[in-house]
Amino acid sequence: MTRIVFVIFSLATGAATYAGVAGIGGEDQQIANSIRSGSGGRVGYIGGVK
Amino acid sequence: MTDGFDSGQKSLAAINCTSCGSPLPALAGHRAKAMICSYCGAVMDRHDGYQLLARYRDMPRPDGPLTIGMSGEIMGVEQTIVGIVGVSAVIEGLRYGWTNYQLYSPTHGYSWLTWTDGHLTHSRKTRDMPEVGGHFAYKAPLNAAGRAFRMFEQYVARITYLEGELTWVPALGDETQVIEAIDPPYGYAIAMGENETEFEFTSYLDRTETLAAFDVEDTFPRPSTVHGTQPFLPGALHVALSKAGKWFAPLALVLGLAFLAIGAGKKITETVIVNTDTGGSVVFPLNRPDRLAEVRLTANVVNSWSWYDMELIHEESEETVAEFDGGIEYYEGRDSDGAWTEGSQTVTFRFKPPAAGAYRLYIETGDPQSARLPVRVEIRENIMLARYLFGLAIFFTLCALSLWLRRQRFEARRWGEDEDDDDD
Repeated sequence: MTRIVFVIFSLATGAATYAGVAGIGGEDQQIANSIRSGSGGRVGYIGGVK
Repeated sequence: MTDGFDSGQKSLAAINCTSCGSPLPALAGHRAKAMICSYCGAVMDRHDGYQLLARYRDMPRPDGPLTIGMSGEIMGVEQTIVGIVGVSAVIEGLRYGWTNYQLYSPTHGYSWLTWTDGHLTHSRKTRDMPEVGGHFAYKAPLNAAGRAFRMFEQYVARITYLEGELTWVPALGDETQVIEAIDPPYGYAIAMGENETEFEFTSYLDRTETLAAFDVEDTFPRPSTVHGTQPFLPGALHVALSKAGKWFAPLALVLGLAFLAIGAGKKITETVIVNTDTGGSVVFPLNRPDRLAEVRLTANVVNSWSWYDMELIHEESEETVAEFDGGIEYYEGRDSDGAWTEGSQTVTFRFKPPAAGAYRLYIETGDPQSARLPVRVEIRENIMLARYLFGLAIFFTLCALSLWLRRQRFEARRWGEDEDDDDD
């Protein structure tokens, strides 16, 4: 049982390390939504200056 | 009427009660002095032709899973139940009752099996006297039988029920002053009667295993209390979680702190946009689309707020990647409690760039009511999050501590020092 728990805890630590490095879940939701919704293809418009 | 034993070790199965004539099992050896009829409560002298000594009618039969005549192996010795004694005591204002089963083994003599609130213990007389006298002091050490016991409780035990063959001639209502000490899974008792003081050594038994030895299926309610001699026996999973938690909690904590130290990432560029009304932009490369990048805005806003509209543009394709807005607000003051502040002069926005390459962040004032102040824009990439490792560190710590906490609670319940006693 101890061995199984050690393996599970190792996997959890590895997953947490990967998630931390990859920044999973750390994105600003507004920006992530904007990127996903596909603003692409449009030239910047704010103030008309790029 | 027939004696239940003879010098040739050959026992007869039963005798007839000299009072009511009912057949009674005769299972004990010669040392048993009394026979109490299960039907009429007659107390008979086994050593004097089963002469009637007393009679106790309508004795309340105590709870218990066993009956006279049952045999089973306890601690490696085949034993037979030859008598039953019901006992009650008032301890700290509450009345408790338990059932003592007189055991007999032709090779090991007499001992007791006790059923109390679903716990089973085995007790035998011992000649190991305690190193100190019979004065009770809560939790005080009591060394006896080669063990370091701690005094647990004292009470006056009163006989409420009698049945079968017993090693002495009891009377209903007989009282004995008892001091109990514990060293789980063992106990030690000093029983001070009118004429003699006896010492008993107790062992806590696995209930299911013991009942199975007597061919009794364990369908009885679980104990509602922790017995004084009950050992703390956590499950294998709990032990494993605790053990692993002790290793992984510091590991996750160290990794989390490392992430905290280096997770702020690498600064790519920094600039100040003086006039956000007309807007300004900053161009920067982002090389890791699989990592978090960060836009950090800082403005010297005091007791005010500023709001910005921002646009992230991929330089090469001139395409807008994202549009977003956000503000800075910061207030400070002083009241009867002293100085106070609210909000922050910095705001951060984190995102993952859709691709590597150069980006332009365009920023301008986003609300006519917004304060107009120069804003410092800082771009970082390779941001790392420590939150998951800190979360795991907390979880692992709880795993490591849970066994200790459970044991503390178990001990508090054993010693009656818990506030909530409705859970086992």
